[in-house]
Amino acid sequence: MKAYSVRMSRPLVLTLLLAVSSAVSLGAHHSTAMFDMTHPVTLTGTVAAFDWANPHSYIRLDVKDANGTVERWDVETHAISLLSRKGWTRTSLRPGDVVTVTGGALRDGKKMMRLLRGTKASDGWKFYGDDFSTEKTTKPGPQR
Amino acid sequence: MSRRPLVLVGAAVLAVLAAFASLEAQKAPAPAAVPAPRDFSGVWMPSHWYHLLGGGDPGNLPRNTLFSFPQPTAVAERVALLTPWGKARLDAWTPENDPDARCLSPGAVRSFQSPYPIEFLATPQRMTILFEYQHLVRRIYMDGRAHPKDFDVAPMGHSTGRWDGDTLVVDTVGLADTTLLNATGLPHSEQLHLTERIRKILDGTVLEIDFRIDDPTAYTKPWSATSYYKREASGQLIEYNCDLVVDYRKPGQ
Repeated sequence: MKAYSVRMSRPLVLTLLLAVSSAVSLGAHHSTAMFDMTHPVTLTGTVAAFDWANPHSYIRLDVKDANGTVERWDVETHAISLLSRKGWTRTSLRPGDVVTVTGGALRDGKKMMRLLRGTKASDGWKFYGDDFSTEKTTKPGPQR
Repeated sequence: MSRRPLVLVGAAVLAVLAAFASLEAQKAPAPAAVPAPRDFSGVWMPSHWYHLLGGGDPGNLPRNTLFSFPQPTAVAERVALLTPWGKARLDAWTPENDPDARCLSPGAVRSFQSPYPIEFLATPQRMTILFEYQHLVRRIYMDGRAHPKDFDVAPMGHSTGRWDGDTLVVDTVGLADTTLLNATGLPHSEQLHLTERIRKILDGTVLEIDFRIDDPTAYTKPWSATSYYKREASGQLIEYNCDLVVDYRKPGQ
């Protein structure tokens, strides 16, 4: 009886994972251990899309590399409710906006970062994600 | 007849005293209403929000023990207590297979490690905790009932509560082992006996949640840790659905 719900959930979870594996890999409500928050990088690019979403929101950012090739970065930040408390709205960033963002990039080299802070060029709006500002000497640990 | 003057004098004395009392009352400002120590009602924002997410000045709000940043040693100390069963569970954990990554319930303990606010509702014989994250609910029965004999395990388990002075003591069993105790994979088994001691500290501005983990299947001895929340009088919970949906106003998702 006790194991019933567990047994039932495994096939469901596997099905869900297979069905939306790409979405989960990007949308995972995960630890930030996979991001190198101690060596932040800064990028300037053009917003392709702003995904106002749970469990995480994303700025899809087109960034030109040194050769002029455009690379797509996924800039991850908080869920909707936390961003709302920080003054963001679903239209804070729109396609075409030029932004400069600073964050911790994925350790595995994929073009994804966890947002610390950024600025929108058109109006100078400063926005904030995680805040490790008081913990620069401490190794950042996991976080949702 | 002889009593009448005495009554009149008594009445006069009382009137004078009342007049003085009235003057005193006008001079002294009314004391600010202090919420009763057992009144947990309202919204509380977690330590995590202030300390890690830049949610505002944390003031004297203490940090959570188990949310390992910036206290990784606190987690390491618990890892050292794992039984072989518990160690195998931890070794199998990855950020990708974490229940949170799949929008599954974080369960009773981990719900108090999250960056999202909680709200207490007090009704007769019952304390209810609402969690913003995933719309979760803890139902704490305060009517003296016992745990059911054959409770079907669930992420929030079965909770009963009682007052020890101004501390709410919550006893919980029936916790499904699909949930974890924190965001770095600390496991527990279905044998977990959770005891939480919840009280207001720092003049009622901070809620302290001390939880004791007694789980002989997963840990060689019981241990405790603490989470903290700060009262947000104007706070409110925002609907949070962990459903991987992008923008509810966009069609076709």
